[in-house]
Amino acid sequence: MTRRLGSVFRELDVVVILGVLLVVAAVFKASTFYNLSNLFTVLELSAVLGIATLGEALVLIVKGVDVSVGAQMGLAGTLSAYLIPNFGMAPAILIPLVVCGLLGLSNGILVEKGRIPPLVATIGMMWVVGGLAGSISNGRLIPIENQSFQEIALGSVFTAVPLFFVGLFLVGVVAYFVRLNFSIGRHVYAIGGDEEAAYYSAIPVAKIRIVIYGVAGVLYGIAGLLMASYVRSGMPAFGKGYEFKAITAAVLGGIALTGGQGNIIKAIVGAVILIVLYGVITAFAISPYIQGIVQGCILVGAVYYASRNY
Amino acid sequence: MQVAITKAREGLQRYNQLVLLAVVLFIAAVISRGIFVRPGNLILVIASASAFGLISFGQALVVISGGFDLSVGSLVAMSISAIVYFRSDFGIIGGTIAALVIAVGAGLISGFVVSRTKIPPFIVTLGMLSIADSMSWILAAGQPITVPEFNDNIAPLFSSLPLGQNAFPIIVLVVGFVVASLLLHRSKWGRYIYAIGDNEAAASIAGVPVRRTKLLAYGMSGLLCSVAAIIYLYQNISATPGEGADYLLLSFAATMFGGVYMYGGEGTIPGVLVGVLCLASVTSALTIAGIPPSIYQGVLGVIVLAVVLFQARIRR
Repeated sequence: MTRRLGSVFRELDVVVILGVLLVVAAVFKASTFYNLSNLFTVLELSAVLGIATLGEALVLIVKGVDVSVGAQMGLAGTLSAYLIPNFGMAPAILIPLVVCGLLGLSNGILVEKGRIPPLVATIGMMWVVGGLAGSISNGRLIPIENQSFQEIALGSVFTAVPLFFVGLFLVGVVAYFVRLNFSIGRHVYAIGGDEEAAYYSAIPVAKIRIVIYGVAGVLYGIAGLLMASYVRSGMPAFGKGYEFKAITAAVLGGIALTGGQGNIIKAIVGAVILIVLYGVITAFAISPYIQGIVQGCILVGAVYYASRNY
Repeated sequence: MQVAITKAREGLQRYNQLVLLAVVLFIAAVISRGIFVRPGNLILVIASASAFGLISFGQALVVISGGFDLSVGSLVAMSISAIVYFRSDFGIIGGTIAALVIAVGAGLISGFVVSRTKIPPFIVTLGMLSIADSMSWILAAGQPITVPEFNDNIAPLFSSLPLGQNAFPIIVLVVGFVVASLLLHRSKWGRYIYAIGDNEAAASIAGVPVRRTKLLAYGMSGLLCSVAAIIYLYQNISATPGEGADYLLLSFAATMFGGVYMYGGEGTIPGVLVGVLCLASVTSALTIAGIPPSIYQGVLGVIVLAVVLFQARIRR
């Protein structure tokens, strides 16, 4: 009985952490944290980080790492802001996603075909992408004046749930559906768990890994577009630090850095926890600069907690 | 034919750094229309390579030992802010000493966690990156930083030398180069670093003090970052908190360029110096050619990826 309780707790640990945070906020700072506009912001930022985290989590599960998250988000937003005045909504959304997908695929090709360690390959890519975004924006901020693009961030369902969050929900459902009903869902875990065994089981290891990097790129692109809609402008630096947040959220959600383990839905909950935590820190009016210290400690602590089982 | 290819490959492996440097200098001279190779500019290039050269030597020690140090850029930023924070109570010398101690401490903490736990080095140093970056904002209270003392007091000492202002960074770079070379290539500790990077388990069985060696590698990296912070302030006088993040990518690029093997166990400090000079030359030439910084960031990224691909290929 206690064993079963223990395993239930382990399954739901992220939910427990989230619950504790929400209770702390309710007890001490109910009025500043639990008002509609603050909750709305928390949900929106959770969606941005959640989608980016999903991409990072997929890459981590196939035993890779991707630190080009923030750069790709910045590029997507910048490109969108650049395209929207001349070409309208649809191209301004589709082209950045295609570009990010291609950049993700090139990450995968560098890692798989070029035999470069993922950390080094994606650091290089981060630089290349930063240069691309910088040459589009010329180092400046490009404001977005298109009404309908702005309204994505303002839109809501039942007045309390932002459209962003609906987007995150949909992305999560699709990912979970693919995980359960398609062979690629199993193959991804097989590759991360034991690459050689997967290879000899006729799983196209290289192809799947490259595709996963590509899918991750598209997800970063989506996150970047949401971000651009939220701040109503595009700038290469807007995604800065998101690679770090995404890795922290994924690890907090129980994605193992050793690959092949972890639940993508829990990773998304990990992202929500991080954002709620920042919200609580802000509600307590603690110096915003402390965020980085908290984040660093969470990252190392969560990996340490997981590494005892490796 | 096969023999010729093998020979060419061996030759490339042995001299690839020097070939690279020659190619880079040639390209630099061409795209800057000759301005690059003027003596005045060459001195400037070496002086500008000083801070990130020192950081790259530290990064090289860590990478050769089989790790990664992602925190280098923020350790520079933290050191800069620490100098300012402690200057108000202990004066500039006390502040500098405090910054050195803090940076070495941060490096040692990373090294301690890496050597005592199974947490991968890139996670540990990513955590340290975030913490140090926050510390740089907290110590500077979010305000812009101005530290004219280094330039005011040190520059006049060299005014009679032919190198002038640039003498100090160049001298520090040379001293750092000599110290790092002696440590890595002439000391017992240096051989331990290669042994661990090559095969940690074997090194451990052979009696190499794995934990202490790693601890020192990360500590050295921290020390070199704080020295780089002094050079930075000497050259720029002012800074904003969190500045120096670019050094991470530059130091990475320089070590890879300089022939350090990304999985550890191979590479030399002279090689890294060549890598540093190559990157500084590229940056200088692109600046002279009038290419905006945001684009040459991308160009540098392409160069790094190309070099790493090349490295991975000739090794197969």
